[in-house]
Amino acid sequence: MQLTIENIHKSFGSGDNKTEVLRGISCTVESGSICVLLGPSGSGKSTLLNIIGGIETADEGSIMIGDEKLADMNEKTLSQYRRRHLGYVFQAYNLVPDLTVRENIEVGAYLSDDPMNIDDMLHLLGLWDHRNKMPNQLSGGQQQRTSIGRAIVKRPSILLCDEPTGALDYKTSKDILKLIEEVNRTCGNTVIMVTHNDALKSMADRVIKLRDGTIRSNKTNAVKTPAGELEW
Amino acid sequence: MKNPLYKRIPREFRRNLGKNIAMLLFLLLTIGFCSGYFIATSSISQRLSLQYTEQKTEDGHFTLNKQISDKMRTVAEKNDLNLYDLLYKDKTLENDHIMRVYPVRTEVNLIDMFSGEVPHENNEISIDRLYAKNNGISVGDNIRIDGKDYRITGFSTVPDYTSLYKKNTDFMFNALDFCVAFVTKQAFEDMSDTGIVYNYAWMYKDRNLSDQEKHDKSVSLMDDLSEASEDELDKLKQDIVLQMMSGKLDLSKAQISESDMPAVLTDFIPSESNSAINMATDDVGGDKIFVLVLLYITIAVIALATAITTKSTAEQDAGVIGTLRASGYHRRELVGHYMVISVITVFVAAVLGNIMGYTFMNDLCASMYYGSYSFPSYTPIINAEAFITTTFVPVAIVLIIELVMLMRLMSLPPLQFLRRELKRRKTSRSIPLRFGSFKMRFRIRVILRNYQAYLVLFVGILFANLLLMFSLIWNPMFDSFRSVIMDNIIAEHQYILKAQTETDTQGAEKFAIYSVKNDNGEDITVYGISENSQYVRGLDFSGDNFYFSSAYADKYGVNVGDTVHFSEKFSTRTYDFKNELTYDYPPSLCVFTGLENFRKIFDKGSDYFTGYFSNEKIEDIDEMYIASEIGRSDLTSSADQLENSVGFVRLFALFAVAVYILMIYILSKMITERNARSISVLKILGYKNGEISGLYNLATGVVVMISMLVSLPLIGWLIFVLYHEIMMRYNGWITFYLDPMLYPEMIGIGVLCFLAAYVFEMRRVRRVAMNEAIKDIE
Repeated sequence: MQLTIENIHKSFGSGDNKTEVLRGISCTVESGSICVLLGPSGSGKSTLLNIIGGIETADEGSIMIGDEKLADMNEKTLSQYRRRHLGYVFQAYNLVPDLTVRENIEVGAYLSDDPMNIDDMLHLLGLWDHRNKMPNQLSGGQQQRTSIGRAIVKRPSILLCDEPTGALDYKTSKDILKLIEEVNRTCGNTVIMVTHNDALKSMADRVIKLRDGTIRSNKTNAVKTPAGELEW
Repeated sequence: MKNPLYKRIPREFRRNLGKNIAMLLFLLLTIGFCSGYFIATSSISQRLSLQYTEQKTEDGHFTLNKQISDKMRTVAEKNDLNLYDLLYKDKTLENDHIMRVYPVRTEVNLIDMFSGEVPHENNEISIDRLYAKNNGISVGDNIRIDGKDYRITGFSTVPDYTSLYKKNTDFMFNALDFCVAFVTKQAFEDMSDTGIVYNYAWMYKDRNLSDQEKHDKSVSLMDDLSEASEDELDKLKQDIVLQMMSGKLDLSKAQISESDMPAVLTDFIPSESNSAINMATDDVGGDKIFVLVLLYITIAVIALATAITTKSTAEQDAGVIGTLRASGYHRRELVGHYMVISVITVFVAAVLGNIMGYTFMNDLCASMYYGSYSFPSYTPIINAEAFITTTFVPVAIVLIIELVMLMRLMSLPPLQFLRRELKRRKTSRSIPLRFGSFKMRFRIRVILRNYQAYLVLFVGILFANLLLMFSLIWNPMFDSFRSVIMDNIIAEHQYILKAQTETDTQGAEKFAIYSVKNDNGEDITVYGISENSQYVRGLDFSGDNFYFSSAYADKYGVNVGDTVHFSEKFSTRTYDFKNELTYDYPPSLCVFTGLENFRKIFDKGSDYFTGYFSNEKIEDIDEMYIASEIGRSDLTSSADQLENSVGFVRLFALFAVAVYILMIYILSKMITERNARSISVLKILGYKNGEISGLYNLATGVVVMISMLVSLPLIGWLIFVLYHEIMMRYNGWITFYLDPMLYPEMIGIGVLCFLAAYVFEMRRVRRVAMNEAIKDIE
């Protein structure tokens, strides 16, 4: 599902304390591609991701997902839109603490009329042996795999990842990136990933660099590097 | 597909097993008690309502000073009613208890046997169940009356004595040393006439009259009876005059003999004014509002506490909620998820509570009434209202309170959950604390951060203290009342005479009494006291002054200089008495005046008196001339009976302690869990468990202490108002007394409750792991 972003403005605060975080962002992300949003802290990349995810509203501009325009949606339709089209992965895994790995993935499956097979998902995520464990019995990487499983099990058109490897070590981060890449390949969903790790740009189809709320560069990679071969 | 979040619920329940079980048990007992209460009261009420038709409850009765004449009977029956002889004999037993003996009834106020059977033989008797219970008497025992033994064949109840009032004007019923009994007609006639009262009951021919029609008819009946008596007297006087005029009678012998005097009305009580009939019936329904309020306040307090803890759980899950909302979960799905445990807990408690109510709690609750009143036996009846009030309403209260709190929380956008910014005001200025030690400031911060929970704790403590004081106030008050009576008793013996008789007993002093009623319809005794009285001292009885008893002044707020309006009970004559001075006399609602003034006001002869005060027992007056004798035990009997009747109120103390511990436990648990990460950090820094507990749990202790200190004076005032309202329902007055020792006692109970909860919280703090601080950090 193609994503079209047009002239997005967003500011926080008011009066002298007003800070403009996004200043007229426009771009397009092709359906089924991996798009990496790069930029230092405060560049506005997470804010842009949240606006795409419909959990924050833009002051100006529009987001089009396929034929649907986010600004036209009320609270209820927005919730439906998120339910149908979006999967979210955060740096903090935000797993339900009293549910097992399998049940946490079921939490995502519940939102879809046609979810993926959960056993297949557990194998894909490499969590089959851990499926009955509670989140507090898992490593950080395993928790993040579970949260990815929860996000993709409902077959979202767009997978939004906010610093998915931010809290993980090098090896685990690579495993997670490989998983995201594999999900993108097998499921064909659009992946938008926010990171401040410059090395990740090589695995993306499109790399958008932000600074001070504006796009500094918007490039496509003719040749992608598989996630497993990334070094930083 | 079922919402997988539901799988979390049993685990969440198990994780907070202690809290949930405690809450479930508490609600179960509360709802079980209330359900049992409603079932018992509605079933008893229904049974009592049948008495009117099935047991032919009287529409009223009157007493005369002698047998009714045929003419009076005819006059009375012209009021579309049937008149029945209901003569009785008040017999003093060897233990000084009064047994009111009737012949077995066949026409009015019919007997219902609670157990055993009605007497058939002339040496058999059935007595009141409650009196028997209070005095350890069983069926088959013998009871001695006028030197003759009667075998008890059963325990009887009658509709005109559902509460055992010896006299309608008594402050309290008395099932401790007063009893109603039945013997065969022959046995009744064989008994001596000592203590006989010529009592007549009436029933209107139309049993479906409205209250107003009954009232109008009773007024007409009373007038007719008075007039009939006066007419008979006038006729006697005319006869004497005629005889004198015809020379048949000498002037010196022109006197109407006592035996020729017509019967005079001495008491007249329509059933709507009869405490022995109505007191119990009113009481059974009367407590319903109180129990309902108790139930709903309890449920609301518990609902507030659980809503705060549910909200706290949701706040701890902020990241999860943000993610789920961002993933498309609807607000209502999450609100429903967080509410479900509380709602299910209340629902389960309500259903099980209702089962308890129907199976055994109704008996327990009924026993509170059967311990005070002489009711016939009852069968529990299914009651839809009880089910609604104890099941749907509690669930609705919990549902609404949780819903409001969670909807408010969940109305925040998902991003705020993800950022864990759950305050509505983005910039909350911290209150600068520049005083006290670090620990003190830390505790204040804990209190400020958890102010909502502590506000609920304050409400809970206020409620628990109200129940606690209400349960603890009575014993010291009755003890104080008895002691005050002993200190203020007029004389060791007060004799009320049937006819003026002289005595040579040393120190005996004449007095007179007359009964009037005030604007509230309450009977008030006016005492005529001899000038220079040895018994009522410190008052000037030479003039026309009136002195109100302190009981009257307390009850009706009469001050010195106030004038109070009174009227005759059986005529339209009225009086205005100005209170010259309030006389310290707590046992009775009465007004004192000089004997001379008394005779003048009530048109009595110059030598009129009705009795004697005496510190010595009067031995030289025949018992047949003594209507009643009032001693110390008679004056305190109302307090004894009331103390016996409010015994169940002491159970409230247990209930209050349970509320106390539960509130402190639930809320301090929530505060510890909410601060688990900070506690973990403190442990990493090197704080000991005791020190950490001292910081967090003593903050709760400070709130408990402040809540107690603030709430106690407020509750003292509330109890006073409540007490006044309750006592205004009764005839008479018991002076309000709040034992000052109750305050330290209640603070002690509060501290003990806190310490009990503190032990649990100490364990909880000890269990917080050090890795809590590094888990799930973003």
